[in-house]
Amino acid sequence: MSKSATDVIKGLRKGKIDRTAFLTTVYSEIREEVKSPDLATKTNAIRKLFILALEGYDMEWASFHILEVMSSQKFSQKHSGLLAASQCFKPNSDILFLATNFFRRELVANNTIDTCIAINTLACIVNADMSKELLNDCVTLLNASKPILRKKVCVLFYKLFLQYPDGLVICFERLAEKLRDESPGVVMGTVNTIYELSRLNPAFVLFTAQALYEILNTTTNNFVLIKLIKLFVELAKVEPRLLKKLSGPFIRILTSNPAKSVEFEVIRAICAVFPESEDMLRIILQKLPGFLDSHDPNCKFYIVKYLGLVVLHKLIQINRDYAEEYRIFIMEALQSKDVTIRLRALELIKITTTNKSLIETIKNLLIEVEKPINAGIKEELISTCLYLLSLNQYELVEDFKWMFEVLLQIVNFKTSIHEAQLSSIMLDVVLRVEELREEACELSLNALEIFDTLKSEKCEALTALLFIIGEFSNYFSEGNLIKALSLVTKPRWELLNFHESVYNALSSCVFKIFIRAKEDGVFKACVKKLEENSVQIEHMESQERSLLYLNILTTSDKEKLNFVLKPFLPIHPSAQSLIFPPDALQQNFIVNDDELFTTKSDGTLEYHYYREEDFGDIQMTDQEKKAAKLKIKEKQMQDPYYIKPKKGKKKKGKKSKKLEGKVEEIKETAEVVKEEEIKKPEAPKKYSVNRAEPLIPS
Amino acid sequence: MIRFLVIHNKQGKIRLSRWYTTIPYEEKCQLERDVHRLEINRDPKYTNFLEFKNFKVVYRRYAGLFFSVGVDYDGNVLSVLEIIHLFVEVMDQYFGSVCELDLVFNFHKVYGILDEILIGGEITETSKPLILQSLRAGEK
Repeated sequence: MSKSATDVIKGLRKGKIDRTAFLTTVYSEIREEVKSPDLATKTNAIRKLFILALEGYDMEWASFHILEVMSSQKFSQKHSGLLAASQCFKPNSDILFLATNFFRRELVANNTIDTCIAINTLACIVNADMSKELLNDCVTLLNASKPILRKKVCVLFYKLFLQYPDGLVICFERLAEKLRDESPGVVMGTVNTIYELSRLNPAFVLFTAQALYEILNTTTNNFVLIKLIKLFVELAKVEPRLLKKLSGPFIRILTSNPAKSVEFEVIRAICAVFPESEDMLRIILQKLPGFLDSHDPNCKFYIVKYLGLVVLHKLIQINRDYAEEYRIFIMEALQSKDVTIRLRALELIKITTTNKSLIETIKNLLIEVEKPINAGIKEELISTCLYLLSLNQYELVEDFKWMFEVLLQIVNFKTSIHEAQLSSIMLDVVLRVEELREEACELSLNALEIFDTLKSEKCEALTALLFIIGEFSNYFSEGNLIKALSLVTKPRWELLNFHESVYNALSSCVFKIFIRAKEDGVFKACVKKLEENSVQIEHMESQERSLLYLNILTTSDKEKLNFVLKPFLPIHPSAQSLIFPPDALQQNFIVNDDELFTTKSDGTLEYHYYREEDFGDIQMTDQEKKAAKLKIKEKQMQDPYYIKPKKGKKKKGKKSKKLEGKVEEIKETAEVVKEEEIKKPEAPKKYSVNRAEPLIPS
Repeated sequence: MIRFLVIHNKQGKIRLSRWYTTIPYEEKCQLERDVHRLEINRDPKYTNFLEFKNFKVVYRRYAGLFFSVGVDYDGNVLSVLEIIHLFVEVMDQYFGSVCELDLVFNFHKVYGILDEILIGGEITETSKPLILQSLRAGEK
């Protein structure tokens, strides 16, 4: 006796059986049953297969059987087949060619219910070819007598247009007529489709604006209203004259509609299209506390708070004056227990911080980073810090010494994605701000004392610190210089196996310290360190550099090396234009004597060389081509460095017999392998849960 | 546009999964797992929205089931919550005090109900009586 689908489910739910064994038996049963000529058995098999598909088994091999079941006349069988089809027919599978005819029959059939469920499935699986074939039948359905059919077809059109855009031009006007349909469901379906199309190409749907405007003023369905508001925002982007007509309805909706969802949508729309309108902003500001502090029992506190924060974000983008009033509120939101709200608060902080509030904001953010509940958003918090610090070329920062300390603090948090940005900010700021250099050197020196903890994947922060110490070591006092030297000459550097760039920076640092220093002891220490570097470090490039510096130090005159003491300064971007190019780099600078073509007196071009790859699209007669090819050959023969190709026949590749044998082996075992790969792992342990508990408590 | 609707229980078992975009099977599974993991850890007082890179997930919990809907970034989240509630209410009226077992044993009918409300990720019908009417018509 074959199991029914319910039996399979009951079987799976029994605790004591071996799930995989049970599923495997069911799977092999299905494979047998599905081939049976009797439609009822087939349907049963397909239903069971669907359950297995939810467990992870593959269903595509049964596509043809599913198609047969779909074509049945009985509703329950057809429904099961269509359901299976919606899950397993992929857009590029071959079965869709066969399915097209089936769907065409269904679309023109007299049976409303069959057509409905066919459309349901079609929306999930339609591809470009099917769309092209079925478009005309769908257009006919637009005039069906039953509103449910018209409604479903209107929504289906979006999917059809996505797959077959050319159809859009032909059918869209017929679809747009449905905006004036008497059934509200049809209107809703059409509005949905038009909205999705307007996101792709608003100019195309613009001519429907008149009809849409009427619906905007008459509809009572909030879902339609929301879609229309969004639609008009899209349309207003291409047709600014719409704005005048929209202000009236928007204000009316904002003041009269009680639903928070509609309110939110209108506010969002107003912020997008009417950023200057004073009265609208006034109304929004009145509504804002309703969102931020709502105690409405229907809407949960956090939901409306979230929406309020979104609205606040948009308002502040329009006008920064609002930022002041809400600053404390935003800071509180940052402490909220809900992570989504915290993320929103971060976004708001990015746009509301001023130079007066920067220090406190950063302090708060860094405190937040250390809290364990923020572990998930640590990266966002640090990104916000760096964003604020480097905004508009450090516009907000007044005290650079404090900023450098903050950067060093962030280095300690060791987030690898920020390291590159962090080190570039550090270097940038030290290079540009002269007053900072002395303090930066001292701070870097202190930070470097724990250099072993600063190790990371690319050690960019460490490299930056070494560069600062080396480059600006002339700000050090003698004592500090010795301290710096002792730090960089510690043997621990080699032991810790840093990234290559660290050792390169280390060698340069030692080199520069030597040049600044005046004592003999320093000289000896530098030489010793460089010698060690050149031998002990694994990276070849670093060894080379150490050797290079060593040679320069020991062989050249110290006075001549004073050019290294010149400060490394930023250059203005327009500086390049003030330098004239040398004579050699003039316009007629010829790289290659052999000219590919010359311009004749009458303006046409005469080609000397011709190779397919170079001039594929140039019109040349065959004779010219031959002549050009000969020229190339001659030149190649004369060129002593040109390697001539070997003469001889090319052997055609023989297929290896061993390989063929292997391919056969693999083919035989393919199905078994596929089955095993697809099975999911064991189900998790059972919990005692009441699955008979009603979803909506009475 | 609604990208997907997934119903899962507290243990992570998927009771219904309907996708309105074409993404590879492994990505679907990964996403379903991620959404489940994030949702069970959230306090019920918190907002019902999860933000991902270019889409949002709106979810609501009914008894032991989570109804999660993925929607585009600029979609109206409150209306999606309404859709979820509409779906549950229709199922309630159709099955008579629906519970998780009804979804387990009558999964094909649940898909049928969903198809009456959403086609291709778009809302088609919001009136409960009309939905139930067309469902009953299909039964005969």
